[in-house]
Amino acid sequence: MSATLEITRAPRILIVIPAYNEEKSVAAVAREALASAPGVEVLVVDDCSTDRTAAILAAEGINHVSLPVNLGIGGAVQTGFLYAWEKGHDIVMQVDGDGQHPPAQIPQLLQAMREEGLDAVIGSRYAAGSQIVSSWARRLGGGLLGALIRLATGQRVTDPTSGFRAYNRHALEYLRRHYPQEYPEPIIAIDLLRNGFRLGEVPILMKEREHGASSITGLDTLLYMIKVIFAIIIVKIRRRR
Amino acid sequence: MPDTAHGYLYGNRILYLSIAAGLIFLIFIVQLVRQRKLSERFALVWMVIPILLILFSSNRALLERLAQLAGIAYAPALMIPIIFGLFTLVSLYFSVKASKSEQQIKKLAQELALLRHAVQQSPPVVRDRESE
Repeated sequence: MSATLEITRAPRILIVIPAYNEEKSVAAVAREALASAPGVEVLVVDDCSTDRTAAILAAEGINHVSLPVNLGIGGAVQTGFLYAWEKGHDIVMQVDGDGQHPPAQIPQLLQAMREEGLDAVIGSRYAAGSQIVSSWARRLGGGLLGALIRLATGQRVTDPTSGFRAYNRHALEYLRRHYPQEYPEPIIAIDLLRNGFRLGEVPILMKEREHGASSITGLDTLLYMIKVIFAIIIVKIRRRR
Repeated sequence: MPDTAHGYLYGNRILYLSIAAGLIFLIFIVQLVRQRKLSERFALVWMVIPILLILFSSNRALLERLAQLAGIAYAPALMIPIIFGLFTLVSLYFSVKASKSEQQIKKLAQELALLRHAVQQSPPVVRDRESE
């Protein structure tokens, strides 16, 4: 599939930025994303924010859609993917709206996708060559998840919770239909691998969050882990599509 | 205990209570449907519980036989696992319904957001022509 995308024209790239109450960072992230590579398009998905996110996006003239109800990260990103599918984009990327992912490193993901013939690329904070210092709880959680994914799929994924990703149209066609509502990132990694997609990682440097708090913190990490492990088991035993 | 009339009545008291409770529950469900607060489809599911409750409570012989099969000495105690099982099934049924509704709402919200975006992006000329 991706081989047929080795085309004469430049691939059309859409960067999807899910944003829930990110009024402080979303405009800057969108502008940086637009400037990251020539010809990229941006779509911010405002997940029914209660702050001024929507107003800022409108005022700045940033391409965005506003969900009428809060769907959570999974539903928001999928909205962007549906948009990309309809508009015929060749590659869709996810960059979180909190300013944590450096849009300047978008080209690295695209390059890996092109050179290694991948359907999906994850920007990894922990892959060799990456140099981020993270809390032990996070690393332990990520490592455990990685081990589980390896057990389930046989492939090593160093940063399964990273929301900095790129997918080609082949993967997009699948994800627009099947996108997990909760804990989408690790679930997608397994789901794609199980369904024969080629997934790889690229080491990236990540900033500390600029504003707001991560959705995964402290004691919640444990609860998050339990829920994700449960979700992974479900994906593993669910009928293949 | 069931040797005397009084004893029999006493032993069956819980069954009479269950029948009464079942009837009240049934009336309550019908009331909710009449007030359009509960759709007929869901009402039917909920009605299974009081109907079976009344059925088992009003047929002591059936209850005794089932209790014997289950190894329960005091027949009315059989009502506890029966009710528990019924409620579990009904709850599960509604969770399945809720999961489906959740998917439908998600899809509607996404479609709405994308359509609104498309309408806002479309040039006014096209919009005017479509409204004619």
